[in-house]
Amino acid sequence: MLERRLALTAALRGETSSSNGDPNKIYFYPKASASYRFQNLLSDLDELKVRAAYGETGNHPLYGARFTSLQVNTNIQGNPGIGVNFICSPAAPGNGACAGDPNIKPERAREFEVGTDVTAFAGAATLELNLYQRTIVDLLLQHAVPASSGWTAQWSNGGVLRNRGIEIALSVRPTLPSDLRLESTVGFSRNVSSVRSLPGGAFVTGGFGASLGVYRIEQGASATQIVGDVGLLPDGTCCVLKKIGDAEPDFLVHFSNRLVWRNFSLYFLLDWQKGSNIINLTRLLYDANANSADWNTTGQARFNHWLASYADAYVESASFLKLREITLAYEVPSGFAGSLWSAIKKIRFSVSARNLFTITPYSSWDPEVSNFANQPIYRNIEVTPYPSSRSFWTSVDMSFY
Amino acid sequence: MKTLRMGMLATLLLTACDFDVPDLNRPGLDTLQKPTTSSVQALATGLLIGARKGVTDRVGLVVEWGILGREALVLTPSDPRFVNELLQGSLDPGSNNFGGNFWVIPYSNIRGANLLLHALDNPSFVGFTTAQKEATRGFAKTIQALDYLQVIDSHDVNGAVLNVDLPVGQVAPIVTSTDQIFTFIETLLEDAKTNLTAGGTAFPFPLGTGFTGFDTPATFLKFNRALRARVAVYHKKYPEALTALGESFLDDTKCPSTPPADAACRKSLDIGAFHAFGAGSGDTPNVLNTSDILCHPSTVTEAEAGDLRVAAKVKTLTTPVALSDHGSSYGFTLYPNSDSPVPIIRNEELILLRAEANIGQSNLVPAITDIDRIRVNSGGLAPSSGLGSGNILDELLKQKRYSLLFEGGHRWIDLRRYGILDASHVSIDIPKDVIHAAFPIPLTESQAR
Repeated sequence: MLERRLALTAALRGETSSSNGDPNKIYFYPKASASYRFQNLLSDLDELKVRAAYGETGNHPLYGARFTSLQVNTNIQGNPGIGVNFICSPAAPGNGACAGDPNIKPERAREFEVGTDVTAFAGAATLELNLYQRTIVDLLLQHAVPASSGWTAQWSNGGVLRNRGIEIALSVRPTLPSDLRLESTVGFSRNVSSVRSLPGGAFVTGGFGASLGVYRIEQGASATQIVGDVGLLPDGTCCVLKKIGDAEPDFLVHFSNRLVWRNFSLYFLLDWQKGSNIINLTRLLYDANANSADWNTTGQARFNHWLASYADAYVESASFLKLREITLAYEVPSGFAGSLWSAIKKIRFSVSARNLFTITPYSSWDPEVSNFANQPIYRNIEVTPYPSSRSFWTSVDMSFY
Repeated sequence: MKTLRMGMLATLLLTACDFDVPDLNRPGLDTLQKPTTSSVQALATGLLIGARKGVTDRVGLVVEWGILGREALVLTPSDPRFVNELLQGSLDPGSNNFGGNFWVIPYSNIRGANLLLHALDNPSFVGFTTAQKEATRGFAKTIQALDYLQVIDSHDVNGAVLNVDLPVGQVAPIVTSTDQIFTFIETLLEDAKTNLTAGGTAFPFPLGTGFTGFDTPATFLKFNRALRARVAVYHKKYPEALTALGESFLDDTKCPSTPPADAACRKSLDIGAFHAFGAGSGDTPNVLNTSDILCHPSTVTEAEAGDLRVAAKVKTLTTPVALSDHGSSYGFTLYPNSDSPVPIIRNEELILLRAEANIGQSNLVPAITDIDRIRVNSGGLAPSSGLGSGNILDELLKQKRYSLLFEGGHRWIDLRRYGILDASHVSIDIPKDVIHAAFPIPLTESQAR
């Protein structure tokens, strides 16, 4: 429209699923977006695009969330039995026999996004900027129910989770002497989550216990907050429970560069994470056995702090700067390669390394660690993992045609 | 416009078909609306599975209650909380493995029993005869009483929730009066007695080897009465305890109170009901035979010389274990295999409960006779001498300590009941160690209310 400067889309989607409490009800999700391009506004500004989008999407409950089911796979001396399984944790969604909700329905995400894409200096620089707010209502969650009911959690719709964030990506290709080329991209992202409402009350999603720090969903707090014991209650019993960390970083920066000089090229990718916390139980185990490297200086005091019911003793910063990848390559001139054998189009020699170095205050191997594998929320817990590998590669690539 | 009509038509077609799919993975509450014989049988067997759940775990009641009463120690470099929470500091309501389990495990089984009772009451259930239904009701309520007892044994004055047969999400208050809680458990056991008495000659489901000798309604009632006697003693209702013991499987006929000891008596002391374990697929093994589960050294040092129970239940380790200023060179030999059963209640306890009830009634003569039966036959010791009202309780608790060693925290519970869970009865290893009296109400309960 308008000489391809304006783009408008709109759609409505209806979904139904047998995993909803009412399997015959149709849920509708609208979406719409608009963008407008300004061309050659200024002499060096090639194009400026502004865009805005709004969309709603649904996320179906897991199959089984509408049923309260019993555990079956056990027997006593070969006599099979069924019974109530209290463990219905988000750690094993769908695996446990859980208390369900016959009225369960999809959760609904409402995302509003505005952004701009700028291209300038004849394509030598591009900038993308995105601001988003994603609000999920009717959150599907296994909210805590008093354990005296036989279950510790029950599926339900409830609560509102809001994520707000910003993403910026800047790419430049500066004009350099003719045989030198540089492509450089820097990306910045920041996300802030907040549980806006939680009718069922706070509950723990993962971790080993309040004395070691656990991830807890709580109204008004970040979804990835770590809470733990911080000393005894005034009456001498255990314990004051408070936020002692957050797994979500303040921001992430990716910095990738490709430098080409004649037939040589150098590529590297730096990742920087600022903020974020880890529960480092490896250190606790070293301390508990008086084996940590700094036991005689700070370790003992740290352990005694934990003994006084302070779980924050083993919560550490997970900030890091990592050289994730570096590659140096040499491409054989095409004429020479072709003279060896006419079918050879290209020969390329390269050496590369991954995970070459990490600069971090984190005391253990790697601040990117998760004791419970790939989890959306309670990732940052470490219990004596293997270090992540550092790898070196040499390769020869040939292409034929 | 045409597209819109097509869309509306498609929508109508979709609405017309029925997506209502039942739970294909597992039986659930929906299934129990129309109970089948096999599902009710499985639910009944499931109560035995639920009752033994976690019992032999390192974080289960045999080990942890044993640690609190200094019968046992766990010294492992992989989890310092066995020392720092159980022997020192304070018990943490946020630790599932250090207390929380003694709430959630019994309550899940209590829910299971309630589901079974509802299934039996369902008029559409015709798989059992009336007598079979009664027998199953009596069984369910007895196991339920055992589960409530686990809650009160571990939480004591911190309380228990009693009327939990409510829809999920609705909560009953936490009752902190132990008198009220014991009365509730006693009523359950009396109801169960009524049901079992009308329960015919056989249970309509297998009870397994843990209940050998107690696997008909009439004999299971004797187990029910044994539990009833234990609760009555805990509740200090001594005449009720003696009545219940009279109806239980208490057997002293083979046990002389003067030497020589009788081998047949020692055998009869081991008769009782047990949690059964197995290594088969889907079964739960007994995992108490682990090298980091140790016997507290005071168990050996405070024993009378020549006590056969120490020799029979405790072994000396070739390599002593030490960690965090604690150590032991003793381990247990009670549960050598993955199918070793764990006692729920045994004849030996019943004889000691009778002695305890008689002490409570100030009938010292029969109490001394019973104490001596245990000393002579189980301990291989001389009969007691010089027992009077001032020292007989200590002597009884000592016999209970060694007779019921590492069978579910009896030492801890007994000392607490008499208000003597203190340094003169419990060995404190180092000055910063403390003695915990009861587990707190876990956060999984208090924070969700």
